[in-house]
Amino acid sequence: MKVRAAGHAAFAALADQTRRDILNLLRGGPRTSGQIADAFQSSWPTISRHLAVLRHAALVVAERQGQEIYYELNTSVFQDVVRHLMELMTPAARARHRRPRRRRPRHQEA
Amino acid sequence: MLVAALVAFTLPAAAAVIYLSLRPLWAGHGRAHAAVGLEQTYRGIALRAVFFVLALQVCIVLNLLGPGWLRPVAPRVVVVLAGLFLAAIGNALPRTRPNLLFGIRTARTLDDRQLWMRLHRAAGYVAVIAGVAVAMAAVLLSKDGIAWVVAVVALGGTAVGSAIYIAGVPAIEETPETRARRRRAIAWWSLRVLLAALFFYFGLAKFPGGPGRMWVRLFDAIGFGQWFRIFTGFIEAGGALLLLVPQGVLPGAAVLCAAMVGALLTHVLVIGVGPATFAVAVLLALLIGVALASRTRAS
Repeated sequence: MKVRAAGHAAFAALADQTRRDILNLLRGGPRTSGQIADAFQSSWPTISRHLAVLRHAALVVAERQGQEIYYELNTSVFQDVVRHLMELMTPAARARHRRPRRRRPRHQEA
Repeated sequence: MLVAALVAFTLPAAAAVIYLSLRPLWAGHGRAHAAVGLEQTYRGIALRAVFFVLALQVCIVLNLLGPGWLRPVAPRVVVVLAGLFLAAIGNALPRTRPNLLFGIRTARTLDDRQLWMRLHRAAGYVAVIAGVAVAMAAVLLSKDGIAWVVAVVALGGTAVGSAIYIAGVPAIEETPETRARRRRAIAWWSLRVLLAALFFYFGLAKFPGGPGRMWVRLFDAIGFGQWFRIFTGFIEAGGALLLLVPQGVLPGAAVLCAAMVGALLTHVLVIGVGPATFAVAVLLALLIGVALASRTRAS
């Protein structure tokens, strides 16, 4: 019962372009919520709400390091595949959506 | 029927051991600030392992007691189960973090959380692909086909996994000291693995009975009875396994030394000195070397 609810939450969380973009950003390594918000044009409360949805679905985990809370990618392989398929299925939605400004995410932090 | 009874009890016992040994992962042994959601991952992995063992158990019991049409299908079902298990574990690998029991736990990955996450995401993809390939092969292909797919997947998976690890782990700065230490480590481990393989083989070779066999005749000549052959086999195979565990090197080498002293005595007193005696002496010398080296090495 709990498992089914979690699976449902994961699909619901993946069905949004901004949240998928956040997951994509996190593939490059953990980010603080501030860094994530900087990478998108949406307002801070919007990003915060998206992060809460992702956290609730356990697609990301929040890890406290000192003052900062870092968000880490926590998707399973299956969820990665689903995310990829959703990207492929919705090119129109992708074009309509404001593209995030990607700052080369990889290998930024030690 | 004895085999059936053994199987019926060993597998549930194995499942219990797996479950209990993985329990510390989520039973509060983690760091105090461990993120919520990770316990769920570890519990999921343990439950999958238990489920896999229980499913195997059901297969075996049905195969022993169930209807006749099941018998030809059972091996396929077992392979399908193994493939699905591999895929299920692979699916969860990206969600693991450095922990006490599970994963690619090397000094580097345990030290570097991000490296761990990158490697386990990649390893998860490899494992899922391999598991799905095996499961599909078991459903669709003939017995030879299954064997081929399993062999290719095992070799390919190992190769890809090693490549990912080597490419993913940043190189350490080479100094003469680290290079020398690495060479010593490689020599030490090669010697132990070589000796372990040899003695494991020697041990297993003593188990099969039967009047014509070489070991049976030899232990007849020794005169203690055939139980001594089985005993020696256990000593050698067990000592070999001990050599592979860091804390077991000294006891393992000691036990094997005793076995080799016995072998030397046998050569001198029973079968006579020959070229084989020389081989036994060399093995004894190597074992003494390993035992002495294990006292100075911390590993």
